[in-house]
Amino acid sequence: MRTRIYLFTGFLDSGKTTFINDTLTTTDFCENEKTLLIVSEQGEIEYNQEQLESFNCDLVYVTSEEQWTYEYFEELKEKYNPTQVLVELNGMYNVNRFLACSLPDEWQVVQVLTTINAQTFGLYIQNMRSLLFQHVVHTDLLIFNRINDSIKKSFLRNNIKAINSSCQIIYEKEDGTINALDDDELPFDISGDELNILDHDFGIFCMDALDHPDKYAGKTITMKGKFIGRDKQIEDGFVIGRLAMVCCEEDTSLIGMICEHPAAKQLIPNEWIQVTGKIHLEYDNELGGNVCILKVEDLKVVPPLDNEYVTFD
Amino acid sequence: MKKEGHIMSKVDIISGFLGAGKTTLIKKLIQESLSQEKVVLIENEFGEIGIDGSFLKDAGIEITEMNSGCICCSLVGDFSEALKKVVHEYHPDRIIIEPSGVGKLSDVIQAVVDVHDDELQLNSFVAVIDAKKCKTYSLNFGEFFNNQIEYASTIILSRTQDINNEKLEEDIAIIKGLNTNANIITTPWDDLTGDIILNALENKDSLKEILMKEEEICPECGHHHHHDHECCHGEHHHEHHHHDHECCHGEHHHHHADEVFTSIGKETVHTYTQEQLEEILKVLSSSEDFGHILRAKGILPTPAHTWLHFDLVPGEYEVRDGEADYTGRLCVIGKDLIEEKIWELFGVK
Repeated sequence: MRTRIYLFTGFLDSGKTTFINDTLTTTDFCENEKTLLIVSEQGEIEYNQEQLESFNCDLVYVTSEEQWTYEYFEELKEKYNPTQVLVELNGMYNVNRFLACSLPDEWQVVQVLTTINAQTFGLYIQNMRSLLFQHVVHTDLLIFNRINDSIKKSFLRNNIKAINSSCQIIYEKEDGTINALDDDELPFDISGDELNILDHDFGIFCMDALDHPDKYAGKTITMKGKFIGRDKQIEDGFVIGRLAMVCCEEDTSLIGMICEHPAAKQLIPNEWIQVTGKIHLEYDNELGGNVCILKVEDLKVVPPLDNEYVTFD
Repeated sequence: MKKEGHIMSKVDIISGFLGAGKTTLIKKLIQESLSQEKVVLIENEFGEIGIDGSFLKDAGIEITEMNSGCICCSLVGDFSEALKKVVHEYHPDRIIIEPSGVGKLSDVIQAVVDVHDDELQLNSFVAVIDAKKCKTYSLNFGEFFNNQIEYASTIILSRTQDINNEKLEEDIAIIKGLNTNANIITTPWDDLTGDIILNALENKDSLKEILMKEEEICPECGHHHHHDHECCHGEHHHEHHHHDHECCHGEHHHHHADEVFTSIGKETVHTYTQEQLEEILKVLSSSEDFGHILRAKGILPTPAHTWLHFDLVPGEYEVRDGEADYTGRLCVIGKDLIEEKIWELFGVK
């Protein structure tokens, strides 16, 4: 029978243990299962072994990344023969290393779950982007916790989506309540028919247009970005975009919008341009929904920006 | 400090994990102790409390920021360039480097060494550690954390006012397990002046040296010297002496040449009331059980977070209230000292 592995990633003090403990002891997660919990971090919160045993869950500790070997997992399989395995991964360990490890037959990672303390997120993404990146890039379900009023949901969300566009995000407030957060107010006013997107707001605008294309339909937009390349499907179509640093300067992610203009053929990739045009909606089969397309009326080449990278603050 | 006519720039490296308090510390040092110096700050981290430009401008501090820290990209090139530029444009008295919290301290030290600039003088390597997090970081961060402690010349614990003495002792044991030489600052920062912190960083006020100086004992060889017989001071650098304990290779005639004194020192976070300390000193000053004590000196915290300073000579001692020190310190000099018994008397391990 298949053994499911759930991998929990996130920094020390991000709430991994509390999350795992709640899952094991307050839901029916352990019902009719033999569970093994592998812990490689010893944080502030500790597990209650006796309590876990009452849920038919065994607990083992790992103190070094070197222990992730095929032989070790075989040994665990032999000894505990679990139907499901939860792994609490040390925040400093290399997630790729764990995922690359050969596992016993029938053992398979089925979900990666990540916890992030929203209060330190800003500090960590500025200084430890590469570590955060590896927590986020593989995740299926990401939980932001300890959110308070001073933290913008769009800042959290956009930074994550730039790294991993398909993961599901849950927002948990300081009091533990979930997803009752309103969308933030946008830094620009969208009540008028014309919208001039400031360089600083480029990322927020593109992300919001992707999520809520309807509210931009028919509006005239002016914005600056790089000519990334021509669109493969639309005649005269091209992409205007800028890069978001997701790990470091070597590893970036494109944020942008599809445009249409006859001059598309004449533009040089990475040339900086300013476009003005009207947003039309088109149905995208791949996305299963509408996307914004900017029908450009006015296009000009402009000097590059001092800071070409997109931020979401 | 001058060397062959050109100005030397002292380099202080302030390492520590994100949120440990590096920026607060740097601010305190700049505001309280470095107003007379020309300082340049090189930052490789975007901290929680940004050191704002106006504050630095007021203090006459130049600031150089480097790219966002990323441990998967090499920053060495950038860093080396920034450092060279700083030295040759500003010729500062002091360069404070705040590296990224997840960089290795040894790598940063090496990067400074590799600049090979005669004007740079490595002064201190500091690791700032949040006293509340010391244990969990040591259990989980491995190399990131251990490397900072191993290579630090001074370790500064932050937020010690938020933990009890038991936890503090536990932190110290973790640190001592990785580094037995570094000074460890354990006193809450609000109780300390910038000067005391700076002296601890520069190891300027060792009790041993103060005592030896007061007794006119050469700290190198343990001999008394005449005033005019300095121990090879002046032009020569002190080097480690050979096992025969000859100072200046026997060329000087020492006063009391047969008397060789040793000194023992201890740092502790143990607290003492005035009565407890006087009780201890009464025994120490009157008993022969501890060896031949010439002098003893100490600065110790009380349970009420005040500080006691004491001086002791045979048959006499003085205890007085005084300024807080970076940690509790004891030093005894004398002959044939029985170390274990002395520390046992003070109740320290």
